Amino acid sequence: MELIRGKVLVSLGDHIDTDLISPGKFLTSYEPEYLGSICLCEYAPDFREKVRAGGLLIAGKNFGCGSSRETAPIALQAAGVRAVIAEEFARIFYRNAINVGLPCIECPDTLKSISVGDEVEVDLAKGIVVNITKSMHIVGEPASEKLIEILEGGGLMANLKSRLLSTR
Amino acid sequence: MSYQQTMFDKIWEMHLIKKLEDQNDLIAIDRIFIHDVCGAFVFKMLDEAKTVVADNTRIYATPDHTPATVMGRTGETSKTGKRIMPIFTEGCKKYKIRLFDLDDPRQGIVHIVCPEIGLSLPGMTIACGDSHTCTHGALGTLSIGLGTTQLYHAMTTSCIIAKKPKTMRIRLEGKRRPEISAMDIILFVLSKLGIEVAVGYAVEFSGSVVREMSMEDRFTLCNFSVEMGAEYGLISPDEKTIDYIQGREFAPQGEDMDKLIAHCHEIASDKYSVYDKDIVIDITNIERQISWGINTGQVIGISGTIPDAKDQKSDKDKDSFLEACSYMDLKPGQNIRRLKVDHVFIGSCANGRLSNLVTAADAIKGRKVARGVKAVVVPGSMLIKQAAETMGLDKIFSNAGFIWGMPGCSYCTCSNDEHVASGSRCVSTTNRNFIGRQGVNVRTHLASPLTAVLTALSGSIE
Repeated sequence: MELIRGKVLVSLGDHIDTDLISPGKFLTSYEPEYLGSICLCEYAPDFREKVRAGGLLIAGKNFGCGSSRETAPIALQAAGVRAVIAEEFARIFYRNAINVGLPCIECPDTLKSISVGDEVEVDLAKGIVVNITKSMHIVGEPASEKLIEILEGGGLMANLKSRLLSTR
Repeated sequence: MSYQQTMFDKIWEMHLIKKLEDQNDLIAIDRIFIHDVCGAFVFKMLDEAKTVVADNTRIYATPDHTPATVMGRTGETSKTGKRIMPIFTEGCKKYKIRLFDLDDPRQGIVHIVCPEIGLSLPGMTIACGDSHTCTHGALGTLSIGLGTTQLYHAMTTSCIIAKKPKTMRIRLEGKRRPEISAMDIILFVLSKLGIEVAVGYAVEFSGSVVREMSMEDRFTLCNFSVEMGAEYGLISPDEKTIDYIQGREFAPQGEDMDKLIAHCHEIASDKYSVYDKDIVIDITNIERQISWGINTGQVIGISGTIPDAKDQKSDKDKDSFLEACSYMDLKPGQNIRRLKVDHVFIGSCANGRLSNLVTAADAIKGRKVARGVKAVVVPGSMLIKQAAETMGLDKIFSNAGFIWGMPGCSYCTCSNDEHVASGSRCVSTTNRNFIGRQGVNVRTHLASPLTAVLTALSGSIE
């Protein structure tokens, strides 16, 4: 988990809100499979197809603003997003993403330094994104050991479950 | 001079259980509010984990997102309600949570109901699975919106793990023109500061304009804190706060109320407390405001014109500006006034309170909704609906051609099958003009209840 390597599949701009990611009218189920199928379905109908193979998403400022719905990070994850690199995350979204096990790294200049198609490697512990295609790296916010542990365990609940089971 | 502290810091410290690693704090939560959608999801999680809630006496629930707002509705009138409502009501029963259900005279939008029946009180920490929980901060509470996992954590432990944000003060000064509402003021603030100014901050609103505001107006102000990126919005309690609380159903009485009054003085921000960011905004002579774009910062005065791409700072800003123009079907330089609309909505946790409805009804003056416009008024709660009907407001609205609805989020979240017809233009007193929020390709203009009514009557933005 510490190193996430993959191709950047989609680039989104500033202020992508959770209503776009997981529209209110579809909030009838919490099943990841279903949420993945509605992820960004009206804003970017080809999103699902583009990320299906599994890869990274880049975005601008204030990513995940708006509603506190946790279906948003679940939907991204289920659609195939393995990590989000953004210039800034809305705080509620960021907490929700960690809790469901979706790695997020905040890097200023993300959109200037990374493009769709680039092969990148995210080092969460160091807070560095290496752009292998462009032979450059950008520095962002490092994640703590604790945070990486949560992400590695598949989110907060999955983590607690395995910890409780191991102490029993 | 004694140690000077902000209200935010005081309430945080009073609830701090333990400092954890990663600069996280363990914070005690006094009250937890849940609505149907976050409730249904969290109950599923509780069921799966086969666990119990830590203290059901601090949790309250009311449905607002999925119930239809038509007269004679049940929880299952809407398709989403049919899925969500049974899980929600069953969960409340199973976990013994006090529920103000659709047949209860207190049902309504959770952020309107809980302050109005005296459950949200100064100095409290409040958690709810909804981003507009910041609304309760108008009473001097520290209230935060949570996703499902954190809500689950709060319900099973009565505390949350949170990073303490930085503090920001927005002082509103100047002379408010009589027709200017709290909605106009907050839209003006957003147009000046942008929608990410408070990411990572708790925002305290203060200044002479806030002190003079009614409690209902203060809720509108704090409601928008999250629209500028803040998780918390607060206003120091004063005489108006205390007057508002007195006599409400769940408010303390007698000696307990005296203690709460003393507590209000204790928690109010000290005069010389220092904030990480301090901003002053003068609202003298501002006119009515309206959003023209696809986020809450894209706002102009009612007599203004759509801005020019040239005036945007960066290429990226230019791109999102062009996206807004294209989605909204507007051109730079175009007047916002006289733009034809198809739909008008008055309601929501931003502007669905009694004073909002009174303002709206007063502006009708015997006129009728313009032909071709669908205009809907949805009171924020059953208590507001009752009070409005006693005043005869429902008749004023109905006679003018407005549809009068049952309390809920309705056309704001559109999670109850009620959405604006595809491609329509809508003036709405709600808090989000995001792409697709009110329906497919719906162009939303956020505005005050007064602007919404004038627009409904003329058929175009007025």
